[in-house]
Amino acid sequence: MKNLLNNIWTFIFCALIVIPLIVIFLLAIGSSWNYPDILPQQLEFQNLIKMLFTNSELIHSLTQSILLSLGTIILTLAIAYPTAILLAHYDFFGKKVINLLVYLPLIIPSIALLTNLDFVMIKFSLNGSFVGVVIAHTLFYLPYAIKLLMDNFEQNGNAFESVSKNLGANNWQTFWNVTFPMSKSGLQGAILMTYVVSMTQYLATLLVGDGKFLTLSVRMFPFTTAGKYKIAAIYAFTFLIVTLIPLFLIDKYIIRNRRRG
Amino acid sequence: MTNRKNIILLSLPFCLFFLLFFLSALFKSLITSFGYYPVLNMKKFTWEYYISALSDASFLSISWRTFLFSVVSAFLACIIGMMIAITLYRHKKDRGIVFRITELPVMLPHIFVVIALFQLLSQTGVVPNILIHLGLLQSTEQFPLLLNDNYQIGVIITYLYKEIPFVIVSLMLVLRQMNDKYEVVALNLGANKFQTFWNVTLPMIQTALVNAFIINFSFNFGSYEVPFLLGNQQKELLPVYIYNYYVQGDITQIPLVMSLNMILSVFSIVFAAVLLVISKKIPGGRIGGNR
Repeated sequence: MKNLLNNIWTFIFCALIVIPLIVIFLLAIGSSWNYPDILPQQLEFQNLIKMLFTNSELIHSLTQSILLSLGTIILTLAIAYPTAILLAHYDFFGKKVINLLVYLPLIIPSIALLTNLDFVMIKFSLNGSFVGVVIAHTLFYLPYAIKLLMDNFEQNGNAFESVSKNLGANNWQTFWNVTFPMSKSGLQGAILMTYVVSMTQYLATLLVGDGKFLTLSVRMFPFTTAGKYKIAAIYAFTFLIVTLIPLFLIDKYIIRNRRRG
Repeated sequence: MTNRKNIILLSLPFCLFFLLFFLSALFKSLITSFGYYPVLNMKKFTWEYYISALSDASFLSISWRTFLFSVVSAFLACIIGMMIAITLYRHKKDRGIVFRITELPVMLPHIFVVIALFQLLSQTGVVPNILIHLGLLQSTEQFPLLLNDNYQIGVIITYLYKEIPFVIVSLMLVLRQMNDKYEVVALNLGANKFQTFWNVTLPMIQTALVNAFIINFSFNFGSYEVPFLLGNQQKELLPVYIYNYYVQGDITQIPLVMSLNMILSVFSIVFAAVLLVISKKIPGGRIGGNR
């Protein structure tokens, strides 16, 4: 009896999480879902699929989102990877300061951080540029990426590196054959989350990008404020396809394969 | 010697990036907030903007409202998230499909939840309609105003949807590493369930919980999107207020906006620091420090 009750609670909990996704899906494929309908009156898959392949605005947004997030992944890793090695394996004067600095972008209210950043971007004349937006996205996810990679390095320890160096490998050989392969799971997590977070950024893209980068998230906004939920949901659905499906596949094939092997 | 070279090389990207785009942004807004703004030929340092910011009644009341709102929603997320995390862990539901579903909201943009809430909970939405069909309501006007309302209920629902799973996921990492024998021992020694939770489980997870609270609080306090979409225009929240101030285009107001930014940043840092110090002092502060 207690078990049954527990299962019911678990079910309600999961249902609450999934309901918004179902609503988005129904909005995207349904037509004329207005008051007083409880469910959409018609479902039209073809329309949605046609739109995904032919609507130039949608495709343009999608490309911009993906390009920006690729740029963000590269910049984030270029900064987070060495920093994580540093914080996990080295002791030095000022380590505490860096350890605190890493988390500051999470603690300072993002509206203050963004307006400050935009202000300085104008000074560097990076506002409205691809690099500027990538920098803004990077700043917001960097603390998480560093933390994720750092935990990974700390778990691995650096005993293997010492062994490799003792056996006569030089720094590069040790890095390519020991450090890098061992950090793959941390890297994967950091890459995937950076990808998703960059895709979701709205205000950073709009403000630092001077409104020139109409990513999926940026376009969803005016549709939502105008009450055009169906078209907003189509953008949201596209977002889901390009984020959750790759996440799911990577999780299923790469991570499980490794567990087996 | 090579050690020193490594440290410098490894710290270079981070230091460069932070110096150029984070510390310089803070520094620029700091000097601007003191009235040093060469674009307008203003080169004298003055406290004027801080004084006018701190004597501006609407800024103070909006800040206070936003602070209360952020604390309440972050606190709710932590408490509910903790209860669900412990329950899931106890019943061995912390892996597999249930956990996968729990992770979902962490990856979704807030606007997903906002679109769904508009479709479901607005007064002409699906939920009031279902209630009418069931005969629980006579007309849609009887359904309470939940979106763009005075109490920010829509905003809180959206944040809870994103943050409860975040708390669950971060606590689960700690719970899995934890040795549950301590709990068994406590129960064996005659502690009741609440005593076991309060004296054994809670100290082991409190640092992770405080960290999650700080992240949630800072997000709620400074994020613009959701309050803009679901907030009430009469009861503005801080991020919307500052954004409107900043983009209105009156360049003479920039030093004032920067002083508001500085006040908020310093406040948030101090608030987070106080919480971290408290978390270090109370039981569990040292053992759980690695998370």
